[in-house]
Amino acid sequence: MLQADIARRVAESAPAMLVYLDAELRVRFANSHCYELLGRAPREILGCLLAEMVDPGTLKYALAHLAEVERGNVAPRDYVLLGKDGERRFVQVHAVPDRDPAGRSVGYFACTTDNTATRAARAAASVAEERLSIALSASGAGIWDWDLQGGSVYYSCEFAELLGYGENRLPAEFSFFAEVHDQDREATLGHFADAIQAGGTVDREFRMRCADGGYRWLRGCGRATRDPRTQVVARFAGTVRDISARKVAEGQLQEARALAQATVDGCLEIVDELAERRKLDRVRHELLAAANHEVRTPLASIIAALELLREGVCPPTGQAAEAFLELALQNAERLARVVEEWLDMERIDLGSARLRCEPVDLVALMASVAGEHAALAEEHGVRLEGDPAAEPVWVNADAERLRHALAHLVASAVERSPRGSALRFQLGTREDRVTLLIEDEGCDALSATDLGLGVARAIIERLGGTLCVANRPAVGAAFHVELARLARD
Amino acid sequence: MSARARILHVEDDPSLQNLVRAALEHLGGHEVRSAADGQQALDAVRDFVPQLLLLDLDLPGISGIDTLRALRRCEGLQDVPVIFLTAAADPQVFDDLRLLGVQEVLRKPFRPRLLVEAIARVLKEKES
Repeated sequence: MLQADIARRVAESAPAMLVYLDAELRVRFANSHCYELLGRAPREILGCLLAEMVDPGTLKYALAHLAEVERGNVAPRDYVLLGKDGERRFVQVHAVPDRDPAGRSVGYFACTTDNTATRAARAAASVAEERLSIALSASGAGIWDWDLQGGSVYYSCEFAELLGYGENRLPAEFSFFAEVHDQDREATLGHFADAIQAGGTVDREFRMRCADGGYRWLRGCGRATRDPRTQVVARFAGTVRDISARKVAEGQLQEARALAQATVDGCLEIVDELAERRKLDRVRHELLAAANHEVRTPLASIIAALELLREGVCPPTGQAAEAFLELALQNAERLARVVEEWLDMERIDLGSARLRCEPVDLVALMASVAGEHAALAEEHGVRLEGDPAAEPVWVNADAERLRHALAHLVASAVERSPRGSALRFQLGTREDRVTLLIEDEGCDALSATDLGLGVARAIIERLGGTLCVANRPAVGAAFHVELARLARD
Repeated sequence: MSARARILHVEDDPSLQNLVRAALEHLGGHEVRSAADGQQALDAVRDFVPQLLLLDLDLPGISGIDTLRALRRCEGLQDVPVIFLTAAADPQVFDDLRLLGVQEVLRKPFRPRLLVEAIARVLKEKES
């Protein structure tokens, strides 16, 4: 094969546009790639001036390039060529001068590659990059990108900015996990490591030290990706965003919630206290009414008896006078007892007394109270009847005060019972409650304003129990005491 | 001194019951029937038609006011004058009693002489 044939075949099969320009910058040779790219026939190109092929706006750069080439700088340049119908093609041109034996430039060999597609891709990438940049800047997110195999790490400007580093640069010795807050480090490291291990994602909130030494809350979202060829996790990249403001708001919200809860609790306490106070007020009111009655009734008798004597309704030394004096005396004694009851109540101090509560066996306590009243019962000819319980029944109570209350109920029942009648005690348990029933056969109706009964009720209510009184004329009275049962092994 | 009258006295305190009876009989010269509660009072008026009711307000069982209402329903007692004796200090109670047509309310303790005078006054008003 002739040298010329070889040269022609090389020129035609080269994957580039080959062009020869003469000294006048007229096309003297172009291979078929050239015609294809520009969409022109060879006759339209051969003999054509460079100025006719290059976009007029960029012609001066092309001329400058050739001048550089002339000076020996053969670095490639980008030209914009005009295709058919004025279509712009972006090409990269390598050119070398063609010199005669004397060294004079007589033309140029140009090798041109079409990079229209590359350029478009680059432009698109640039737009995408710009878009990402705008988005990142707007979201305030910083990027990290760790090459797990090569060991290199990339942090974006926003990342540095997020941590308050000037000129958007992290210090050379910056290490991600070293800067995570001590209290968050282990957990964060664990989650990141898990994501890397599994080739998964991570979404964690943690504090990271800033340039000024302070900490900022960040939310890190990342994804570990595998090398498609080796399936080894090769890259771990993601974003961090500043969530300090949200954390502060959350803290404030939590504080506000705690404050609101405390306020509600405080209000409930006040309501409870008011209810308790109202209950105490009611008890006090009832006791006061009882005391009023208990004092005024015997006083009325004393005054009446004395005045009748003074009025001389009977001879001063006779039986009738003695009866009046006896009535006055009995009522004076009754008054003294009322005063005693008041003192008892003072000792109970309904408002503020601290009860010394402890487990008390109600069976033993009731037996003891009955024992103490055996002599009184005998004196009144009353039988005390109770079925002795085999097992202790425990309640949480102030033993002395409960004894005082029960003693009053028993004494008052004995005193009102007719001779030959019975006074019955019955202790029962129902789930977590204990009930004590004291029943008499007293014909005398129970006084509605019995001060001692008021005291007994106040004690039992302060122990968290209830005292119900069934006043049953002609049958007798029944005291129904109910207390919370104390579970005990 | 007014004429001798039939008085029903309802009082649960035995001492006061005896002493008021003595005062009404000896100082006022009245005929007295005593009852300890509302039921006894209703039993008493079957054969004793009182010209005046003297009631304790704080009675066990049926209250003094309910006792009065029940007695007023009995024949011949619709307009019977009433005096209440009470240890209560609440002014509301006094107003309530006046609304029920009660003529007098005396607070315990009271002077028997004043009670007798109050009875005379009420009986005289009834007559006029």
